[in-house]
Amino acid sequence: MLVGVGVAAIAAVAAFAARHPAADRPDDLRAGVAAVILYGGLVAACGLGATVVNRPANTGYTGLLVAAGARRDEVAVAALAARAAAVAACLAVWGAAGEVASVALGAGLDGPLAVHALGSVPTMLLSLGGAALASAAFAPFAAAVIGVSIHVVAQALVNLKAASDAGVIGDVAEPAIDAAYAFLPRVVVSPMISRLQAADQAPLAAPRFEVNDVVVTIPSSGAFSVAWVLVWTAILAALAVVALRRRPL
Amino acid sequence: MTDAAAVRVRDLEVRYARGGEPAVGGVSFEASPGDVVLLTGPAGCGKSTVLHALLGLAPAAGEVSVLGRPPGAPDVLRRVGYAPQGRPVDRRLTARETARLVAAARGLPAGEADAALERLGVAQPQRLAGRLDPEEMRRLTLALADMGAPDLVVLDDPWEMPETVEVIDRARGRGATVLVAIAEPGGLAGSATRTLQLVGGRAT
Repeated sequence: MLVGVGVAAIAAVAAFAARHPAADRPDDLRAGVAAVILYGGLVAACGLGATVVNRPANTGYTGLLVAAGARRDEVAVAALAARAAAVAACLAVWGAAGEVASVALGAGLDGPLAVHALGSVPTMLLSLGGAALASAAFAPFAAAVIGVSIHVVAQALVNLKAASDAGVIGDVAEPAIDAAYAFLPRVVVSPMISRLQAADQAPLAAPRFEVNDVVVTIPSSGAFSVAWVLVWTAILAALAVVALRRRPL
Repeated sequence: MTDAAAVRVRDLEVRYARGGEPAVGGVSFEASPGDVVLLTGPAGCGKSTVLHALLGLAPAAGEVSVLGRPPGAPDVLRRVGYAPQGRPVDRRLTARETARLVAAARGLPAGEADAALERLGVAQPQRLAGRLDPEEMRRLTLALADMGAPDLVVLDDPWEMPETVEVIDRARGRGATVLVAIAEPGGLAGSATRTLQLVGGRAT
């Protein structure tokens, strides 16, 4: 159902963009699709991640499989892999819907939008991994909130690093920000969203960021950042597998 | 205690939180092949917790062995037929898919699952398991426990229905051990070889 809601939202965005001058339509569409990918992706990733571990055997599907002789590691890996595939599929469908809308608006296939959809996959998988790990200790709603919180912190780190690099944060805080940015997970910022954010054209997906009344532009991520997010995702997923191995079901 | 016991439990203790009160403590019993042991007691007394400990789903302290191995060993669990209480299903799977998945986890062919569903009278195996009515749900869980002629059958809060007695009798007939957690023996008393009463997490 979530996939359909996202596609419907993209259709509405396209209809809204069609009312604007032709030159403005591509960015209007990109901003709308980026919002669907961000918020829909978080709902999908955190909602699915929060149910990786079904707790009691009385009501929990995981307990039923483990009691039948399935290895806990295998159950956890299968649950994570299936959910990761589902999240990636959601983003792919919304990205494809954006491309169809772009063609329908007469702008042709949109390469930057496709790159953005692809670049959102690691970021959403990071939240999925965090929610999955949290699901070993918390009820689904709390685990989902933790997944969202990981995204918020990762986005905040990217913003603070950009502000630090722009010299609008005091010297005292810069080492702490640099250290946190170096070691903690971060979001992947696509070139498209970086440009829209700088132009303040995507208020829902990438709102204007100001520090001390100075507008800070968030640069797009490099290959290392993408790899770093994937490493953190793998760490969180591995910890979720270990947590399922140890916890009562 | 004898080495021939299918289930051996001595001073079982289950604590869900380190340093917390034990959910179950000081429970000891033994069940041999062909035995039908009823664990009885009011809701919350620890019947299901004992079963979970034997299946490796809950942390168990004390001396516990199931079919000669520590609890939770996957190769042993594949020889155990388990009918959990409640509705332990993935809502997106049908009753047949659920049974086949459990069969696959136990290393059984899909045909064993289909045969068990038919034997236990699951009338609509193509329905989503989450939408089965309560009686059909109980038949499905009984089928999960009955498939593949397991050496140990574990029934958690089964309904008193003819099919439940059939599953127990079939298991006894082939020399399997049966553990049943149920509030009152009721109509299953005639099938039992022993009854263990639990009160407040302890055997009386």
